[in-house]
Amino acid sequence: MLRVKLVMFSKACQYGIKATVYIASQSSLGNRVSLKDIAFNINSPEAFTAKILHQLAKSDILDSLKGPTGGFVIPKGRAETIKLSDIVSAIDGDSIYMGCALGFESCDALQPCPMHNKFAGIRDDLKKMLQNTSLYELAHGLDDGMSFLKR
Amino acid sequence: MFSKACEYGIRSVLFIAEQSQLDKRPNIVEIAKAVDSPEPFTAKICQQLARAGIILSKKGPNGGFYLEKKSKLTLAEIVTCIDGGSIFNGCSLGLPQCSAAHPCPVHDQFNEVREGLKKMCENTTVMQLSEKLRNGETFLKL
Repeated sequence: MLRVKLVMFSKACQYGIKATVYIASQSSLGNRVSLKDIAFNINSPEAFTAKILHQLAKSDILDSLKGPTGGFVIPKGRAETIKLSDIVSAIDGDSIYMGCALGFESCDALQPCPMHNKFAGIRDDLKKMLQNTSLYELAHGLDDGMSFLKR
Repeated sequence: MFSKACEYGIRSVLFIAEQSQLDKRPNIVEIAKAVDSPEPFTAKICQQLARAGIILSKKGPNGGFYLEKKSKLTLAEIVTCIDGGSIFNGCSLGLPQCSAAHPCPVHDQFNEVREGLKKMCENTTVMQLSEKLRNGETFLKL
């Protein structure tokens, strides 16, 4: 039987969001966290997580500090300026905003696929939500025990 | 946003709907060619949709897949048949037991987007979409 799980984000993007929220929450407590610690707390495979963290560091979403007291950290004040949309585009690029709902490469307003107009509104809502949600508010819910990263 | 299986599934059903209005019953080869999808994968998806009663099939030399001309089939039924509804109900971060009482960090933010998607899929019928296809307002092969 054919069964494919549908999600809005790629697996890499899901791990990236969870890792960033976890690091932000730990950074607000003054803690630097190691790869092992992150992978354990968001329940993700270590090697894959390392790749994602590297991508996030390259996009200046988090800092990676070397040495014995090193680890991943999000400096004070940065979580307020990072939006969920920054994390998503660091990992998935623009595909979530630009891609055709039916997977056509050259779908646009001039040559729309049957779903094009129906999807435009949903995509706008998604984009607005991602651009209006700050890392700070996500990490805050975690600090307060209002939300969870691991089940 | 949709999985590959879902993309091909929707494309195929829209083509079948369009052809049904012309009293035709396309077979897998014709469907795959028309919607630009791989044949074996398309066969699997169409079989799954037919087994669930989403599309109808007729065996024999003039056989193939079709829909009732007045079918009220919605996008939501296709999506749910292929993936089980996880895009409408599943957690955006992939946690198995995310809920309002036990939310992941983006649960509340995503609820509205998901509700919007769900409503759109529930309110859009395949025949509405296939009519625009027939009128040349939209395209299945680009």
